[in-house]
Amino acid sequence: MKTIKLKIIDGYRIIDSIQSADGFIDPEETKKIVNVKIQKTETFIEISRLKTEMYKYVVQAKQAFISAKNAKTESEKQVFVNEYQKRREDEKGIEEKLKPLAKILKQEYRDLTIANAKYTGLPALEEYREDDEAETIADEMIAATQNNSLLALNDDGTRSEIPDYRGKKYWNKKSGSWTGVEISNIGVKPVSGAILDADLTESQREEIAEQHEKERIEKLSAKQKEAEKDSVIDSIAAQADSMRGKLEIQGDKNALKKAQEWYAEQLTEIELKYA
Amino acid sequence: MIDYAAVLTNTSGSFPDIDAVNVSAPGAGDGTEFVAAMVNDIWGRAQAVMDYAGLTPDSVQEAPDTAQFLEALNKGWGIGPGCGVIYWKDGTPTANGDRVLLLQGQVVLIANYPLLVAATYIGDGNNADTDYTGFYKTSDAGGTTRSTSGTYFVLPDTRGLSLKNIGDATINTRTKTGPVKLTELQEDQFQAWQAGADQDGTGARDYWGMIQARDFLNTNTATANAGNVRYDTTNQGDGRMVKAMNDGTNGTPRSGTNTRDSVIGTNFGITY
Repeated sequence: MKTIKLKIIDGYRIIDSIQSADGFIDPEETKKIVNVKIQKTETFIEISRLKTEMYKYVVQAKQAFISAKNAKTESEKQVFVNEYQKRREDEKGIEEKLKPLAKILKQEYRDLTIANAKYTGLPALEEYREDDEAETIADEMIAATQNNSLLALNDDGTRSEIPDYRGKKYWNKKSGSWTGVEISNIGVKPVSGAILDADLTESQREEIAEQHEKERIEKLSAKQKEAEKDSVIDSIAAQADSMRGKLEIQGDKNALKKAQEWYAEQLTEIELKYA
Repeated sequence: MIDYAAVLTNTSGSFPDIDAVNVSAPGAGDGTEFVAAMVNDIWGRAQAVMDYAGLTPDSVQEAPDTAQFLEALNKGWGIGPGCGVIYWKDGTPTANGDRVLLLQGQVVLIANYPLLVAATYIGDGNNADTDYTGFYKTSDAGGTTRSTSGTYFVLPDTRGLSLKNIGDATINTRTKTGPVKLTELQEDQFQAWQAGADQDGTGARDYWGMIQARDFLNTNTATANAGNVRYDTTNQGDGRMVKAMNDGTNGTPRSGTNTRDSVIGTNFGITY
């Protein structure tokens, strides 16, 4: 017998693990059954028979002892003494027969206990399953894992795989626009065609970055946009200045022109970006 | 204890197999004597156990369920119902015939385990307190509806858990907070920390933690103001994951679902 342990995830009863049910055998409830069944075994019946026979010898030994004590003659006494000693030997002989049977009975008691085990109540979210069904469930759990899923126990007792893509972020491009979704619940599959974040190509990442930058700028107020644009223009002017200085030091006679051309290119892009 | 072979004239065998013998015939005088020494040995044994346990005879004849000798054994050695057992035996206690229940959250009938319940029940005042995860009474076999008049008893579930004494410890002036109540659960946790960058000036690990980026822009408008660095996402930087890693001495950290100590599996049980 095994138990399945469940946990609730997003309203689903997910089978989390399979455990041995041996610790849940109820000793006292089991004893009530076993104590009855053991009495029907051949070993028990034989032990009972031998005990009865032993008691018979004990009684005979006692009677012979009393008779020996009350005997009128020595020869009569000796007869009863012989009888007494023989019955004591018979009693000892029975004891020797009982010793191995006691061991056998102990093992039979153990076997009956295992075969007739009664189980206690279980903690919440734990259920009993017979060994063969538990084995089937174990196989289903492995298959579910391979399918990016968890195994759920349904209300009607059936089991089904529930997709588990939690923590994974997927991107989907529709009408030229990228949407990223991180799955946080089980039972949710990525939409058809969605790309796992880790599988994005370099160019796809650049597209997404550009789209996000564009969306960010669109959300700026006119004043914020203007201020940021001015700041960026100021920055490229500083870079152009630095470029000119570097070129002049390196002896380039067209340092200023080159710097201005670069600046102009950057300015065009910035104007477009903040349009 | 008396040495039977030294105190009695009619015995057979030698220690540890000294046996009493029956008389061979009336008046033969060769049976083991019934003498004061034998009785005193038995009496002495029982009284020693009683005294050791701090008990005195109650003048009631020994019988099942009321035997003081059994009570003395339990009290004297701290055994008996309600004592913890580390159960290494092969097989289950039931199959082995041991009066032990493994602590796995079972729900049992109170009527079947009166001594255990008497020894461990948390009391009517605590029965509704859910901090106690075991040794409480319920009215249902599922163990969910707590009731002081319930007929079921719920044992704590120790599967997957280590045991810790209730109460706090102080080590190097730091308080180690333990569970407050018997059977209260404490989930694993890591000592609180925050990530920081530091220079490790030792040999091959001598490097600074830093952020690298391309195309960052400085919007500083006055030398008196601190520069605001805005990360330009037009071009990607070269990022590395911040993670726990080998400190050069203790190897790469082992990770898993839970924080845990090194352990060995066993069964925790309770006598009943």
